[in-house]
Amino acid sequence: MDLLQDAVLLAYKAIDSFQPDSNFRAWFLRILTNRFYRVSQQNKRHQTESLDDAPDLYLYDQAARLGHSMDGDNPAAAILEKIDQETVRDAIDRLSDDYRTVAIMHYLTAMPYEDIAESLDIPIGTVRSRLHRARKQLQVSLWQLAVDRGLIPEEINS
Amino acid sequence: MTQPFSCKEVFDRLQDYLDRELSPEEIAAVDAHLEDCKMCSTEYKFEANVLRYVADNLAEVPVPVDLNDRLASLLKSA
Repeated sequence: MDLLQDAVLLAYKAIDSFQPDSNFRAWFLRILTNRFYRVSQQNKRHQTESLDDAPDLYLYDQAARLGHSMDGDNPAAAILEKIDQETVRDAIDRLSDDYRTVAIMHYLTAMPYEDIAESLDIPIGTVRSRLHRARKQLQVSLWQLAVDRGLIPEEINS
Repeated sequence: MTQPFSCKEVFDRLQDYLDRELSPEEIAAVDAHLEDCKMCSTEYKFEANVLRYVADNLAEVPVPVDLNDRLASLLKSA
């Protein structure tokens, strides 16, 4: 969907907020402009946060930055309760087939690295690196999707 | 007796520890460190929580092409 279509859709959904005696063109341009800035920010974030640059404990770092409480046996609870299952599935969908395959084999069928390597006919080191990268990719995608969908604030509320 | 790892040694092994892919000696050394280090323990628990949350949803997403066949042939040969 391009920016204009996106803005038309948003305007349609927000039509109740339009005041009949005000300027429709100005109102719509404001929606279009806001959408443009939002998409630009998203694109910039996607470009700058390449997987190699992201910290290993990506979500942990973000939760710590936002000041989430991390006490008890489930320190991720405060952040995970904001991320719905649809967002988790969308993050999994973003994985490449190579990453998703090893993730399913290891985490769903509990296959050890060695068995996965033998089954896929790849070195065990490749299984390890794909799993580690899949996990990091998932955390980055979870965070980006949750922020883009307004589930989690990107910055600390002052 | 197992010598506990340092924070860095645990951090370097955290992913393999989560995947239960360390040797018994390494697991014991990580366990010993996590008993005493609250920060590393919190990092580990956080990662384990996220992993479990994601794994619970893995069954709901489409399986990549030909993985079903691979898993079926593995089950047959088991």
